[in-house]
Amino acid sequence: MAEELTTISFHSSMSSIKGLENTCNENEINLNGKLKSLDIVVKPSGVKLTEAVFVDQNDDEGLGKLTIKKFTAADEPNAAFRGKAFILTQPVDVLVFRSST
Amino acid sequence: MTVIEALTEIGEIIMKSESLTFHRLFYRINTLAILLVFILGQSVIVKAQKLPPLLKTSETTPSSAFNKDAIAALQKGYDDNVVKTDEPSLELARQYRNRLIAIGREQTDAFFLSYQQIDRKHREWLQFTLDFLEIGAAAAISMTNGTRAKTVIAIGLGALQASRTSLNKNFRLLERQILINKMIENRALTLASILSKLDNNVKDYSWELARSELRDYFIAGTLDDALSSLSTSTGQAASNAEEKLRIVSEDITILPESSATDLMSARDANKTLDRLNANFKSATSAADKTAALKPFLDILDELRKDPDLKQQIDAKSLTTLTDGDKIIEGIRQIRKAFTLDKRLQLARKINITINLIGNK
Repeated sequence: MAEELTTISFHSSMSSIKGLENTCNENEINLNGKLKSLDIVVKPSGVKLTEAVFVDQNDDEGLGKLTIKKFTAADEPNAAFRGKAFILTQPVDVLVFRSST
Repeated sequence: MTVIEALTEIGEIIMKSESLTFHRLFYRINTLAILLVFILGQSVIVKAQKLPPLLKTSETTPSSAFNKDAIAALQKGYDDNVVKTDEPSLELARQYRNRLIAIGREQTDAFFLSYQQIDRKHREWLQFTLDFLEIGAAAAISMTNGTRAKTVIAIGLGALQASRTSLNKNFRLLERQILINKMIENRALTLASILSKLDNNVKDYSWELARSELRDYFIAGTLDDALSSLSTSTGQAASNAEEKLRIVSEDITILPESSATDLMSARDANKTLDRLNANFKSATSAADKTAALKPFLDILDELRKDPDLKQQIDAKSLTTLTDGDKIIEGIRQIRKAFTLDKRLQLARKINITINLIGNK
């Protein structure tokens, strides 16, 4: 069965990577979906946004347990995925880790 | 004929109007209108300022930007030096190129200025003549005796006004200035691009490339380009406005940054629901099941105090359910819907209420 996806966006003025982590975690819980990707988009009007795509879940298993860090090649193998987000309006490469506990 | 003579003529027409036939009166008023146009026209014409000798556009004036020989000499100077490899020659070629650019710019400016003046003069004269004819016809109605004559002139005036409206509409006479403003903007942008490259060497920015940009500069001063770019820019503006509208409305869901407290509340809410559901599932007797279901119902009752939440809970008939899993599923759906609807305060209110009531 195809995944049901939900896409939301965050303002490019996100204050920090920790702020992004809190936001993604709260939205995982409120949307009942696991974060699948993070990417930056610049709309034709010039509006800069971070787009987050969530995969809908039937239960709340493992939701809200993300850790987001700035990208490093050394950490990449352990990450759930690599993404990009606007932090203080600047694009930043990030790694998203999912804790099982 | 002077203005005083013309006014005397009007006076005579008024005095004799009763004895004049309609046809004679109409003919004389028309003649008078034409004469007045001519007299007033003479007094309002502002003669164009003479060009300073350095700005003459003659092809034979040595200092003119239109002097073919001077341009050919510059072109030769450029061609001779651009093929050399030593720095002084290339620098010389750059200077020749810049002088050719300056001449190209001056020629284009001269054409544009001339077009602007002629276009404006034509429009102003046409509008003035139409104004004058309308005023003349209106005055003729007042001066003429006889209902029939007045009716005929009024019909003529109506036709004139309708023709003028049609002329303005179909020939875009009143929008012409908007187009000229667009031309000025496009020309400034193209010129800025050219001027920013004057310091570039001839390898990076050759005369041929510059000439191509000068052609763009010339085209930027044409009606077609102004119309086209105006249409593009208004289209783009409409698209941007539409996108902003989508952001403001529901097509794009932009959510604010969450605080650590918001996250903790959401996590605790899920833990609370899981714990309550585990209690419900572990209950074996009907009495235990009823007791285990009570916290869920208390949560729902508390949430229903909010009119928006009540509407959603009632629509799903959550208070009539007797299964913890289904109640939780219903609460999650409502929380998700409010989140996507950018009513995050209501989603957070659900979390807070679950924590407050579910942990009593």
